[in-house]
Amino acid sequence: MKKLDPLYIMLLSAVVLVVSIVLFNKSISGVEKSQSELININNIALSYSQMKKDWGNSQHTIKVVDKMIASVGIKILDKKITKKKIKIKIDKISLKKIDKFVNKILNEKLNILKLNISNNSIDIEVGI
Amino acid sequence: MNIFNSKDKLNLFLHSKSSFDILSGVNIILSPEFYWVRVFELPMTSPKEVHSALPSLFEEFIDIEGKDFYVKKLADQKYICFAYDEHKIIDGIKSANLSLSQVNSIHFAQIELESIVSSTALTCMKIDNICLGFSDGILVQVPIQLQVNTTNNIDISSIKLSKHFIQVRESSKYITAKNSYLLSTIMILFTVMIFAKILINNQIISSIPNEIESLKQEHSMPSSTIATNSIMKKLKKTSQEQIKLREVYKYIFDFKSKYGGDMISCNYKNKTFLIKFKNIKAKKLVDYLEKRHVLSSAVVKEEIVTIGLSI
Repeated sequence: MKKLDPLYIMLLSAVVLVVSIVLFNKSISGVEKSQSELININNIALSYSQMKKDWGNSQHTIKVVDKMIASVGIKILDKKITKKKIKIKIDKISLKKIDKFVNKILNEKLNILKLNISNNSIDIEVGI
Repeated sequence: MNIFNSKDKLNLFLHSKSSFDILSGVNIILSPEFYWVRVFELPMTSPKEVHSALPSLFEEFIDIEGKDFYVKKLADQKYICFAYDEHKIIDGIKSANLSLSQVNSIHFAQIELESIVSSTALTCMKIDNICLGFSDGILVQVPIQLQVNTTNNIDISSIKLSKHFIQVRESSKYITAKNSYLLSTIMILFTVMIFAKILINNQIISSIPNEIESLKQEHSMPSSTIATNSIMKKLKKTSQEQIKLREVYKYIFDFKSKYGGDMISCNYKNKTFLIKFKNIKAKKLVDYLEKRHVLSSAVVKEEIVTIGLSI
């Protein structure tokens, strides 16, 4: 007979449905994979920007160092800023101020390359 | 048995007592006993509209349960309508020793024989011992008792079958055709929904690389993962070194506040400490520092203890 048997139509529909379910599962796993990749990149990006801010932001480092010196109220004997670091020499400074300054330095996220402390002087190099 | 050629198919007249021995394809002309026919004058323009109204129109005359319908337009607002039982036709085909796969098309004798059967029931046309005649325009099977004039057999071979035909199908014993269509419709709807969802998912997947790119731009990250990892590694190393450095300082300052003594100097450079203490027991200091750190040197000279530490 020319007329298509409804059973065949039903079977064809079932096959198409099964195929679509298989494709759907594939697309779901694709979405999950892409989303997990996005979450992973997002976490890396947050960690990256935080680390960059903490250890790789030269302007931020210079600002923090200047703020610290100003807050302790000490006179700088020598201050040099090169491409890679800030060099600071402080002389004739009281032990109390040394304590305060060193505490502040160590409590900030600064890349300390050199820190020489004596009874009345500090010689410090901070990476930028 | 009547066998006539119509193109490449045989035309067969099917009635309840038919019996054939044919294997090739056939066209069937149904005897009036297989259908109910009625002419309606309806204010409808298309046979399709009439078809939808037929169940309620036939309801008055027959039990419409399990019946299918067919409409032929005769004139404006005048239609000849058929009701038939598919199962009865299938049974008739089977009892005539035919299979459904042989049947090409099924026609109504009312339509096909209209032009050749005499228009009066008094004149009977014999086909396979069945008398047919028209009564008020409707083809009927004439009882033998009423046959007044019997003409010769109708030459069906000269009949060109009309385009008006029906098709029948054998429904499954497990599921009805209606339910099959219903299930098919539901499955197709599900399929459409699933494909729509797949399209949405594909759009999500294709948008992820753009989101990653904008995330990288937002956080000023290098475009390549290798470069990012390299910078991250370097920064992590710096972070770990600085944490260690602060731990050592804390340790040294804790010692000083715990055991006293004077710290002459504490120098740090290139991951190495050089600490000088005065007025302190060297052994105590060494023991204390050795618990946590590796000492590179420990020298006592003129009451000054010099300790070298590497991180």
